[in-house]
Order: sequence, then C-alpha cells, then structure tokens
Amino acid sequence: MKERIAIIDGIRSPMAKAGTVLKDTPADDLGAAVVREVMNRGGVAPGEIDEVIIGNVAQPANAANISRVIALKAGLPIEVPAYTVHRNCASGMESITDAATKISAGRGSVYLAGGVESMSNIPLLFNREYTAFINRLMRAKTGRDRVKTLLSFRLRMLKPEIGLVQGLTDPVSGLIMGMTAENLAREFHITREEQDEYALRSHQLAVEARDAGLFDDEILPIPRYPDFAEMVSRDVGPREGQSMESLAKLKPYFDRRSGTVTVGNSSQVTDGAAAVLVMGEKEAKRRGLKPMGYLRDFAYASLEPERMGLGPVYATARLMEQTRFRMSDVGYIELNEAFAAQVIACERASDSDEFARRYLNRDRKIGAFDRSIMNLQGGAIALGHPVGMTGTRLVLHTLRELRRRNTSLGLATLCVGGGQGAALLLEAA
Amino acid sequence: MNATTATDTESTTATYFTMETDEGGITTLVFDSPDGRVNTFTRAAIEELAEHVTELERRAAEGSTRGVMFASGKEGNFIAGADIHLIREISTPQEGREAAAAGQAIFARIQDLPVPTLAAINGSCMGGGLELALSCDYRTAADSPRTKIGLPETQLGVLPGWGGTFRLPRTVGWKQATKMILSGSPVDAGRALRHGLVDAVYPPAFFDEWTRALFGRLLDGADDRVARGRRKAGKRRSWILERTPVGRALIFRAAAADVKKRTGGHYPAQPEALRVLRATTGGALGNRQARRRANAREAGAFGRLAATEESTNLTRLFFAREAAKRQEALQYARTDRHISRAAVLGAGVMGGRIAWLFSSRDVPVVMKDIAWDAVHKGYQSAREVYDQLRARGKYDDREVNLKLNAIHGAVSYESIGRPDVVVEAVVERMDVKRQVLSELESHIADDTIVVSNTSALSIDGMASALRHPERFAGMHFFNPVNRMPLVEVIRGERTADAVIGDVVALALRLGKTPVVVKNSPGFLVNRLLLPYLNEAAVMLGEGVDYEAADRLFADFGMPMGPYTLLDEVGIDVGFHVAATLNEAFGDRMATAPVLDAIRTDSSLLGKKSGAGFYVYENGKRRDANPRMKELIRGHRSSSGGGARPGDRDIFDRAMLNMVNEAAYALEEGVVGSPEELDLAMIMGTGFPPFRGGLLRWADREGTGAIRDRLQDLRARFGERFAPAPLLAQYADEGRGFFTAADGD
Repeated sequence: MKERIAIIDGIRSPMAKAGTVLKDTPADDLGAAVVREVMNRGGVAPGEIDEVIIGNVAQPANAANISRVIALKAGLPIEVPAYTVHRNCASGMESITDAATKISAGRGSVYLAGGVESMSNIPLLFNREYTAFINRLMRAKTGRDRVKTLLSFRLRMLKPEIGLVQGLTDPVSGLIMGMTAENLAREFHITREEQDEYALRSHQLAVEARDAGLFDDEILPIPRYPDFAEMVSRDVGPREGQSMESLAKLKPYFDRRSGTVTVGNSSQVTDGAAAVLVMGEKEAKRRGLKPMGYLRDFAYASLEPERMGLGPVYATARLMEQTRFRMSDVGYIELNEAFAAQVIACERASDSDEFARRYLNRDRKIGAFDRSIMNLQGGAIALGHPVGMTGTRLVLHTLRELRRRNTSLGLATLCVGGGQGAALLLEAA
Repeated sequence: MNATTATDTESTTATYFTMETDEGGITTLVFDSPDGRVNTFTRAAIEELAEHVTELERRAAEGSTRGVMFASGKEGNFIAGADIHLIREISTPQEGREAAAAGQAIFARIQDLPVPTLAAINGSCMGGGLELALSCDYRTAADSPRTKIGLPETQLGVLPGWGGTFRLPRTVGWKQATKMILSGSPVDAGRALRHGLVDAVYPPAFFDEWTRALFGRLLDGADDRVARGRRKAGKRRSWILERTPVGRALIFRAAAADVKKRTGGHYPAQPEALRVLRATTGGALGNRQARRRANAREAGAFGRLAATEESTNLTRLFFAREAAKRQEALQYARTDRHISRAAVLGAGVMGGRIAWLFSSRDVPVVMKDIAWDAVHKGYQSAREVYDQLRARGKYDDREVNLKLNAIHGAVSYESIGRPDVVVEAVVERMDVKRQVLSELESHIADDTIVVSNTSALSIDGMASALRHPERFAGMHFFNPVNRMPLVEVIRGERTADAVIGDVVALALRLGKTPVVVKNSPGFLVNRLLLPYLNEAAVMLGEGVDYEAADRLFADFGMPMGPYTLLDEVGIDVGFHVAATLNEAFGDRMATAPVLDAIRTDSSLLGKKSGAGFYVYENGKRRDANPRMKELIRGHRSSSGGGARPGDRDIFDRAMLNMVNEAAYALEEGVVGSPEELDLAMIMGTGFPPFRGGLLRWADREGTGAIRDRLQDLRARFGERFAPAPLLAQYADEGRGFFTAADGD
C-alpha cells in the first residue's frame, strides 16, 4: 500500500454467548452503540466521515444493508453513506481493508468500519415445502381452492430449517465448519487431548485477562434489552472452572462416531459488535490525531473449502510475498480460534517446509505461529466468535496488545468459511 | 359562467377571503388572513365572511354556482379558530351570548346554502375552524402530521359557541363528541376519518386536486364512497349508546365522572358544556327548529362562561404562554447556534430524564457520569418514560427504539463527542459542580453552550470556574422533567445576552416554557415555594392535621397539598433547599425544626423511600403514615405544643407567605414581570391556572387585605410575616401587582 492506514480508535461490545444477555439486542442496535462511541471519541466531526462500512454475516431480514441502519441509529448525519460487506468470518476485517483500499485509491479519507453479529437472532426458516404451501394458500381465490390447499398440509412441513446451521455449512463441500476442523485434525494428526488442552488454555488466559481488567477499556457496556435491567459489561464466554476433565466429558459434536471436535474445543456462537475509525496516516497527522496504530498491509488468499481452517497460513504467505517481513519480526499474533484443531493445524503448517513447498509455492516455511506470542488473552474458544464481528475485534485487540507489550509489529489473521484466509499486518503507533 | 378561472371577487375591501369559480361551477372561498401565519376569525374576518355568504346565497339562488368549497391559503393550517382576544373582550354574559349568536347565524346560513358545500381541511382546524367545517356537507383532510382537528374551547374556560355542540355529536356520535368537547384534545387525520369527522383523507401533495375531483364527482352524483364511508363510520358506533336516551345518559354519566376526576370541580366550562350537550340531544343535523333551540342554549352558556373569572384567567394564561414563546424573537439576541448534539453530565434519574427530553426531540445526547452504575440509572430513567409513552400509544416500538438509540452512555469526557450544548446535572454541591465544569471545558469547543441544571446553587459561583463564563447559564428543569413544562433560564452576571437567547430557544425546542430569572438564591419558583412548604412544616409542630391541611390546598385547586408535595420532592431535598435559603435570606426563612428531625430518618424521606407523610405503594399515595404522625407528636410534646391552628390560619400562613416572598422577588428584579412570575408558578408548581396565577389571585384578594392579614399573622406568629416593602407600597397606593388598568 502507498501509505499506512491509521486506526485512530476503536471499541467493542461485550461478547455474549448466543441466547444470553445480548439475545434481545438486535444486531443493528449493537452495532449502533459501538459506532456511536467511536464517532463520539474519534476526533472528527460526524459529518467528516466519508462512509460507514460494516461487516455482517447473517444479515437480518429486518435490517437489509445493516450498515446504513446502524449509521442512522448511531446518529451519523444522513449525508454519510453506508454499506455492508460480507466475506464470511473475515467480514469484520473486510470492512477495514475495504476502507484502506478506498483511502489508497483516493476515494475518501475518513471511514468508520466495523463488524457486527447477533447469532442469537439468526432465524429458523420455513422449509421449501411449507413455503410453497403458503404461496398456494395465498393464491387460492375460492373457498373450494382454499379447502383443497389446506388439505394438502402435511405435518412434516413444520420442520424448520435452522438458519444458523445453514450459515455454518459450506454448500460447495457440503461440510459444516466443524467437519472441516475434523479434516484438519486428521490431516495433521491432532489428538483430542491436544485440542482440549488448547481450549483450556484459551479459557484460562481469557479469565486471567478479564480479571486483570485488560478488556475494560476495550469494551463499551450496553444496557441489557429489552428492559435495561442491567448494563452488560463483561464477556460471557470465559469459564473460571474450565478443566481437562470437564472438556473430556463432551461428546464429539460434528462427527459423533469417530470425531475429536467438541463444542468445548470449538469457538462459541456469540453476539457482539466492534468498530474502528480509520484514515490515511497523513490525514491523521494533519488532524493532529494520535492513532492506536497502523495497518501496513493485508492479504486474502483462498484454498479448498474443506480445509478452510488453514486460511491463515495461505493468507500470511501471500502477505509475506507482498510486504517484506519475516515471522521473526512479528511481536504479537491474534489468530482466530475457530477450532482448536484448526489453530494447531495452522501452527504445524506454518512451521513446515514441506507444507510450504507443496501448498504455498515457497521453498521454505513461513515460520511458526508462535504460541508464546499468540492469543495471549484467549480467543474465540473462550470469548466467542460473532462471525461478522471477530475480524474487527482481532485488529482492535492486536493493536492494544502491541501498545501494552511495547512491541511494534503484529499480525491479525483468521480462517474463513468457504475456504479463505485473511492476514493483516499491523504496527504500533 | 364563462370558462375562465379568473378571480371574480369584485369586492375591493376583501382582505381575508378570495372567491373564485372554476369552469366546473365550483366556487371556492379561500381564507388567507393578512394577520399572520395562520387563519383566525377576527372581528373583521367574521364580518367579511358574512358578506361572502350573502354573495354565495345570491349566486346559489341564481344558479351560477353548483357547489361551494371552503379552503385555506395557509400552509398546514385551515383555520386556527376564533381570535382569543374576542373572548377576552367579553365582559358580560349578554355580550358573550351575542357574539356566539352572531357566529351561529353565519354558520347556519352556510349549512342552509341550497348547493352542496365542502371544507378542505389542509392542516390544523381548531375551534371556530371546525365549527365552520361542520357546517359544510362534506369534509376532506390532508394526511399530514399538522392536521389536528378539534374543539379546544373548554381549555380556555368556555365552550364551542358557534354551533359546535349541536353539529359535532350529529357528525361523529355522542360518545366521541363528548370526549372531544370536554377534553379539548384534537384528533389527527386518521382518527378523523375513522370517526366520520371527515369523508376522505388525501396526501398533502395531491390534496387540492383530489379534493376538487371528489367534490366534482359528488356534485355529479358519481361518488358513492362518501356515503359508504359514513355508513361504515356509523356502524362503528354503538347503536344502543348513541341512539337511545338511556345509552346517551350512560355516556354523559361517564363523562361527568371523568370531568369531576380531572378538574376537581374547579373548572366550570366542562360541566356547563356537558349540560348543554345533555339538554340538546333532540333533532337531526338538518332540523332547523332543533338547531335554533340548541344554538340558543349554547350561546347562553357561552356567554355565561366567557364572562367568568376562570375564563379570563385561562385566556390570560394562553397569552402569557404565547408571550413566553415569542420572547426569544423579541427580547434576545441569538448566536443562532443550531443544537444538533447534546451532552448531559451526571446520569442518574434527573440526568436520564433530561437525556430523555433531548432524545424525544431527536437530538442525539451523550449521558456521562463517572461510573456505569449511574449511567445505568440514567438509561432506566429515560426508558421508563418511553415505556409509559408507548403504553399510552404515543409511540410505537420502532419509534421508542430509535429514540432510545439517540441516548449514549459514557464515563469519560473523551466520549462526549462534539456537543453544541452541555447540561450539567451532577450532585448539588458547589465544589463538585465547579470541578466538573472546569474539567469539561478542556473537552469542548470554546463556544459550546454550557448550562447547569441546579435548583439552588449560584450560577455566578459556578461561572468563575470557567475560562469562558459568557457561554454559561442556568437551565433549571423541574421534576418530573417529562411532565413539568417550566424551565427557569438563569442569567449569570457574565452570561452573554445571545447565550440567554439560545437557551430560551433551546427550551422552546424541547417543548418547555422558559422564564428568564436572575441568579439569586432559589431562583424564582423554589424561593417562593419554600416559605410555603416551610410554614406548613412549622405548623406541624403546632399540631396541624396534615391530611386535612392537604385537602384544604387541594380544594383551592393546587395539584397537591404542601405535605404531599414535600413527599414528592423528598424531605431531605426540601430540608437542603430550606437550609440554603435560610442562609441566604435569614430569619424570614428560618427552617422548621421538625424538618431536621424527619430527614434524619432515612425511611421517612417521602415517596422515594416508600413513606413520608403518607405511605406509597408502587408510586401511588396511600394512607397517612402512622409513624410520621407519631414522630410529629413526639416533636410537638417536646417543643411544648400550643394552640392548634384553624383552617383559615393554616391556609393564609402558607399562601400569604408565598405572596409576600413574591413581592420581595419582584422588587429585587428576580423576574421581569408579574405575568412571568404567575406563568412560572403555574407551569412550575401547578398553581391552579383558573386562578390566573399567584399574583392575579393576590390582586383579587386585594393587596390591602393581604397586607392587613400579614400584619395580623406577624403579631401572632412572628416577624417572618412582616409585609414586604413592595406589597406595603401597593397596598398604600390601592393598586395591585398588576397595574390598575390591568393591561394584558
């Protein structure tokens, strides 16, 4: 990229396990709260924002182009346009990198980007047969037609299709995400114990960070809908009492007969939102703003849908080709924990020359994603994975960690359902 | 008729109306008053209307017009009603009866025109405007939020006097008509259509075209929708209730009970209107004999009411409110800073209500406190009001959601955004307020308006903590913010004139009535109220039965007696204000010792603690609190007791104390005029509007009589009753607080 993109400020909502404290908060309200906070803090007048870009996966039927709904609810001037981006689990990064691309291309200078997901509110769907039945009923004009149509009703029509499951299933490979993780566990020989150990680490680190107050400034408390009975200010997912024993008790969820992936070593289904204010480095200087940090470059890459968990390895490899840096330069990494098996697979693939030669068209490995500098405050296994929001959270948290650890280069990377990966190279201010 | 549409008004004196006839033979009479933005029936307008009606009668007789349409040349306004000055000028029942009869005669002639008539209601249509529309055969209304149709006369202490009580029930049914006339509240276009008050509702952009097209079809006999619509509206009404004497009696009985509950029997207009309705149920809309009888009855009642003091006071209040609305334009410069974003410092209940107020007007507001717990209280406090409004049907879920989204909680100044105005509403402590204001200043622009919602602290005392005191003023909201219409705008010594103008404009935009007052302890309303409350507390020590005493003041028309009010305010808060004013004004306001005794018991602080003088359940007042009675008895025996005051003394000691303090405040220039003082007391304390206000009431009692009575109280109860110099002077001069000429 021509110049670095400054990320001025950012905030996220608490992350709440689906069906818990944020279940009655619509995705647009969740998004509006964080966008308002960033807008209020940002050091630019709301009218100076060129565009609002929000990533969102399960786009709610009642808020088409949710970004515009969020912008208006947040109180941005009506003159500020807004659109929604969707790159599955990378949607919350796509919004930031899309802004970066536009800034580089001179299409605008100040963007409010973010990601939002309310997985509690992904609806159950009527199946096709029932939909057809309703259509016939609405078309029926005469009483006779109506009776005839009503008689065609069958009880099986009432079996709903679960939107959440459909959304998490790749239609090309036909695999639900958990099964792609099973594939990786087999490819890299990752045992159940290794996965559970990783999951335990995620919970322990998240609880530790939460208790140490490391998330306090990162989180904007949200009044609990519908009646504002409390302020929701803490992440719901991390469990204090998590243990290997309790993890071991869980049955494999996706491959019930011979699987290793359980709900305990997978990311949680979660509600949450995050937003950041971005602009060119020069623009930030001109305005006298002190950014949290910078986006130096980014890359997206793709691979077989059934191995989608390896996305970070592919994307990071491409990023390295684009931008001269070595893994050893990186001081902190956030690699999204979609599944423990998938994180471990990435660790192994990144450290393998053979993998690099075979799949990445490189002579040497990209260099290990080093656990000692990775996901040190827990990840999606403990905190949850609101799919459209996670990308923004990873960027936000990486920048905060770079500053806190006083290190300069960070990598935020994740795997994407459908077989893609995203990698963002971040720099401390 | 030739085929041109040229204006054929030959009259040269015509200024209010123009008349034209189109090629289809439809004559349109357009009301476009030169007096202002809305049409009102002034004396001249009525006279001109009468001339036009004569012309219409002539044309109808000679066959040169097929139908008459009444329309307005004003944007969003059909006719706002009769000029209120006409009501104010009426001093005898005879005059009132004649004024009503004259209007009735014109409207009867309109109804009796031999050609069809239609009123094109393109916006607000009130009082006499609706009475004109009701005299037409058909009505259409523009589908716009500005379309409000109603008969608000009872709110001014009179009743519809131009045939409204006869025609409305025969158009929308007795139940709805009774409701509209007694409450005075208007209906919107949708409801008007539903009740059969109008025959069609059209979008404003097509209103004129479509109304004309409809009228053309009606004249050609080519429209059956109107007739069907009327049948449908009729079917929605209960036949038993509407069409039988027993049913109507039920309607009237329910209405009477409701009136009694709402007015406490103090307002003569509603019962009188109800009597008129009751007595004139006979005859259909077209029955001229019935109409004549009903009109005579209506005119008589109107005359009697228009000549009452209550009506005089209510119309005065109307003008005072209008004056308060105009004062921004007349009196104050403005920086013309548009308020598009606001911030409130200090969440909690009060901060939340102020945030609610901004959000209800769609002004985004950040509510900042130092801890999320407090912000949470603010959120709840705002939400509570929205829940009430939603329950009452004022807003739907979507609107509540959007408006709540305009409120944003924060705990740091970095998050307050770029407000155009900041309302400080933190705890009432000078040191805290000064610190908060000086912290705030480094986070906002130099010209951001800053106001303090203090009820008692000195604006100048706070201003000196600011680098830019000229942008600072007081803006004292009254509790509960969602219901109390008054805002005291407090001018500090260094407040810029333009900033006062901006704050007044802001208060108006928030739907409040602003009264500008000087920075002086207790400002205006609390300063006057406190001697009244304090004296009530002093009398507790003398063995007053507070339940009976409360009733005494309620009978006078106060929304509640002083003891109930103390419960509402909170006894600790009351004591705090009392102590502040005691310090400022000395012995005249020596705090009643019993207050100090009560406030130390945290379970007796009033409504908020669930019990004070009374016990509260779910925020509703129940019986007197035996524990309080016991505490007071104990206090009394320890202070020796004494004679128990009689009703007259109880009333006068509290009320005249307040009048006396008003005289001090006027003399010190705390408020600009007795009119504004009265307005503030009505809007800020609920002082009964039909009494005209504290000083109007005092004038009626007579300044001399009040002075003498105060002297008597002074001799018996102490120096605090010494008449204020201004009061004594007026008494000597034989004049009242208002000039002898009673200039309105």
